[in-house]
Amino acid sequence: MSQIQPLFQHQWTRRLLVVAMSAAMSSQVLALEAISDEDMSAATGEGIAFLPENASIRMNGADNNNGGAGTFDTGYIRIIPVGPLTPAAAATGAGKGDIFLYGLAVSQSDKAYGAGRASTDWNNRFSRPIDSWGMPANPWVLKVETQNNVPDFAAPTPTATSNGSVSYLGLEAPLYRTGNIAALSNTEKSAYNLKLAFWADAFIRNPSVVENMAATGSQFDLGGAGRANRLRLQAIWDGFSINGSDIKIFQTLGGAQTGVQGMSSSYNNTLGIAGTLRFNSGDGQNLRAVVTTGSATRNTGALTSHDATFGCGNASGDFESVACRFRFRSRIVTDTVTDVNWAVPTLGSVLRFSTQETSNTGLLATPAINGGTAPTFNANEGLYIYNLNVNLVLGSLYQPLVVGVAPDGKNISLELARIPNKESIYKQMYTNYDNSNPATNGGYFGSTCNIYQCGTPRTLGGVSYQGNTATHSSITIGSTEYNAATNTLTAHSGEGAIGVSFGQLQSRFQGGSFTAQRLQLEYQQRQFRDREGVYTDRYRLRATGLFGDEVVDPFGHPSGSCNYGGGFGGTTCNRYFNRAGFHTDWVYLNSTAGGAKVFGDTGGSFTTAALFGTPMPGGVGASGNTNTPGAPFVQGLFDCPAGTTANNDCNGVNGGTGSGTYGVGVDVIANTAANRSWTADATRANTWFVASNNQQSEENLVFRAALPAFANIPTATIPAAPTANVNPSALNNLGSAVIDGLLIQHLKLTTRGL
Amino acid sequence: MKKLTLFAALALCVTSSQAALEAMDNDALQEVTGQGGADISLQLRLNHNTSAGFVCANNELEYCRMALAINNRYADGSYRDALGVVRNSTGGVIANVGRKQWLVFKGIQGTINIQEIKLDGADLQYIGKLGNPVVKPAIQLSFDPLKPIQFRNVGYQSLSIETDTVANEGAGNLPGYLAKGSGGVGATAFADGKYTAAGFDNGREVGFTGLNINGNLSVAGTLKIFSCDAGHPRC
Repeated sequence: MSQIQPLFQHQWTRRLLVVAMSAAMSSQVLALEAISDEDMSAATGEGIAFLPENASIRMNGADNNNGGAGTFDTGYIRIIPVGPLTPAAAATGAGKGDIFLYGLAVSQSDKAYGAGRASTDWNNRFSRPIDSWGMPANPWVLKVETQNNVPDFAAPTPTATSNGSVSYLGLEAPLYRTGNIAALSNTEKSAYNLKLAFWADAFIRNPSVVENMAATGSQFDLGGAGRANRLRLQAIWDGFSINGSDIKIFQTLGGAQTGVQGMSSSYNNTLGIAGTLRFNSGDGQNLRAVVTTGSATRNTGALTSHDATFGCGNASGDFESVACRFRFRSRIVTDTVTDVNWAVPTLGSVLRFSTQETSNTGLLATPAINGGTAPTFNANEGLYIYNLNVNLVLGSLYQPLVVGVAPDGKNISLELARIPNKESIYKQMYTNYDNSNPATNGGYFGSTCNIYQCGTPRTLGGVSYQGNTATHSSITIGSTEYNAATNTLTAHSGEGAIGVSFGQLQSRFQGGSFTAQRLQLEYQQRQFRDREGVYTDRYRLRATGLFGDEVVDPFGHPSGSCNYGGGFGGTTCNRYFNRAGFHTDWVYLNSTAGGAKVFGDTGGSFTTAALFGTPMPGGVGASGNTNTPGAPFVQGLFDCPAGTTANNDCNGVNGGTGSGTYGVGVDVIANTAANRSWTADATRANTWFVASNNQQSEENLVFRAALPAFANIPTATIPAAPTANVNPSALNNLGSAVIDGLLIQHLKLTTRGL
Repeated sequence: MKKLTLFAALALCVTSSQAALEAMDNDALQEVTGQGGADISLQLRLNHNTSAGFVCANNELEYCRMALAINNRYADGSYRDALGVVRNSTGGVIANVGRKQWLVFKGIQGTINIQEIKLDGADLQYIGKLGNPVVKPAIQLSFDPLKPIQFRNVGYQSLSIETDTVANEGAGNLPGYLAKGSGGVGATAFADGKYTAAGFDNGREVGFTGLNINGNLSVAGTLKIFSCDAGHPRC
């Protein structure tokens, strides 16, 4: 553990004894002794419990006003800007920042849990006491526990499993209940309905003027006398809880070596801190502004076919024409709404920062120097953040937050240790969003801490609480959507989304009539397909006349000439050779699953065998006298000279006397009617695809290029209810925001210039 | 009641006897009834006179400090591992650790006056870990918002990191917490551990970011403190 060493030497007796005497200790000297890890590890599971009831704190001024309580909200914590400016800062004329943090107060909201907040809440720094900050069965707990088998930093290989035991001192806030907080007793709910407030004066101080805590003088006159070198800020968070938070302090394990895989020896055996900081305002799933309209009507008709412009009928083989590749049908949907009203929902939690004071407006005054009361702020100005849920996981026993010193020996660094390349650590931290069960997800235990869960829930004494084992952080503002299957949060993006506003969120009414025209466009599509193959063609040489007469093969076939062998009718010599063939047909769009067009409907196409037969072995150019395997023998393609139509002429069965020129060449096989028809079967005929809302998509461009009348009507998804082109939201509403699943791999903050 | 009174007396005041604190079990605490209670008032004064003014002599400011040394913070990155073996930053075994680094709170001071805390006992009821109803005696501290805890000039003047002059706290070492050096030029010049340039920093001890708390911390309500034993759902 860390050493804490008092350093007063001989002054101890002179100065500190005052403390000791006041505390009424006897002259006996009590020495704090180190507790060994063994002793600490023996003390598992027990601790000291604290339960504040009817409690509040408020930092009042150091006087006896208000019956002894002190002037409200003027007690302060000051950050004194000691130390010279850096030369770079001084060169720009910068001053020192002098910050007075006033009136820090923790209480319970005046409103019930979840009830709507008003200006009296977000402009009032102190409300009523907290009924019970925790419960007897769920109090604050300070305890020492030991966790065994914590992986250390040593990772010579990623599969290393070296580990140790870590004893830690933990401070835990009351746990966060699972389920519906609103259904809890008023006493228990009070811990979920806190109020935190303070206000601050931040001055720019002239570094060359001596401090004067009795009068303003010229100490803040940097850049001109009386210049407004003060920021006055009020922060009030009304309606939140810190339940489920905890902080652990422990001695880190060892095994890290500087320079090896980005690790640092400063992680080893030193003071480590880990914490889960949870500030939750409430569930944002149902936080929506309510949008209503006076009337909402929809004007629509039947879908109109555009076959006059597209499709080229059911017999086209015009593969090059864009128009022949599409069919369209469409209709224009016109929505009209009147009197649009956007109503602010119940705001169960508001965090507000404001700077506009309405009293005590001296530009350079502050109660710490000039006395007086705390300022009053404008009730409805400033930055509003609604339903803020912050769940920050800062480190763990195996990824500690350590405090270090920068190499210059002067600056402080705060470092959240790098996650080592060690399976037993990173598998504890990484998340498999598709499957949260480590038994089947590859062994990943990580998960996100949000308002719904924070690791594995626990049932203690028959009551179910959220866990504290999550590894990822989540921050949400305002309206959210939650996917319980993956435990992920996203910001709601609908018209009712709220989250941040400048100035009080206002309801908005827009009278009159608003319309929107949308094109509902559906299409069918096909494209051409080139098919290539090898077929065997045949021609015949025919020799007649005298025995032995020769007919020379005009194509140089390896079998050579054909000689008349006598007999009636002459001699026929068959010559075979392989040729490359191709064929073009249509394939139709039959799926757009996943956003990609899939052309998979080949209905009506020839089979490969029907197109190319069964060619001889040997590929293109091979020759022979038989078409082996040959059966069934396919004659191949036709080649008819002009004026010749008989098949037997064309395919070489008849041949031409002496020459054999017939029977060599190519033929065009027309596609089947079924391949060319948009409506060859019911599926093809009745399957229409919805055009993309991306106006630059292929189908939208083709459609509008041919039908410019639709140029200004965007293709759009038709909403379920009539929706016009009117933004119903309040103009000062900035909407919701979410940062989810944040894992800090390695974080190091180092001060500079000290 | 007897034991409770004894505890209160100790807190209140002023005995030179060697009183040993004994653990009280639940049964013993439950016997304590009546809850007559006691008032605690306590004034803590650190380096302050009775009017909450800083009393350290200007040439002995180094004795009005508090310093923290976090385990294994040495200037050269060396450390003692869990077995006590001294290692350098890359893990090699060496003889001695380097110069120790300290976080020093300079000019630490403050007066805290707890005007009144009422101390008595109270019972808490909850369902234990095994589903059994438990009546648990607790110490109860009660606060009066009209008798706030008075903070007067509580804090420190500056904060800095200081380093020992000799490794392993060897012979002749000037511990970091007593550092009072000189150096710097112009606005950053300091001598005898204090800034010398005219202006705001003049005469302040070298460092950054002081802290000063002034006010009445008005606390309301009660704080029950009880042992979180193995039968409690949370422990």
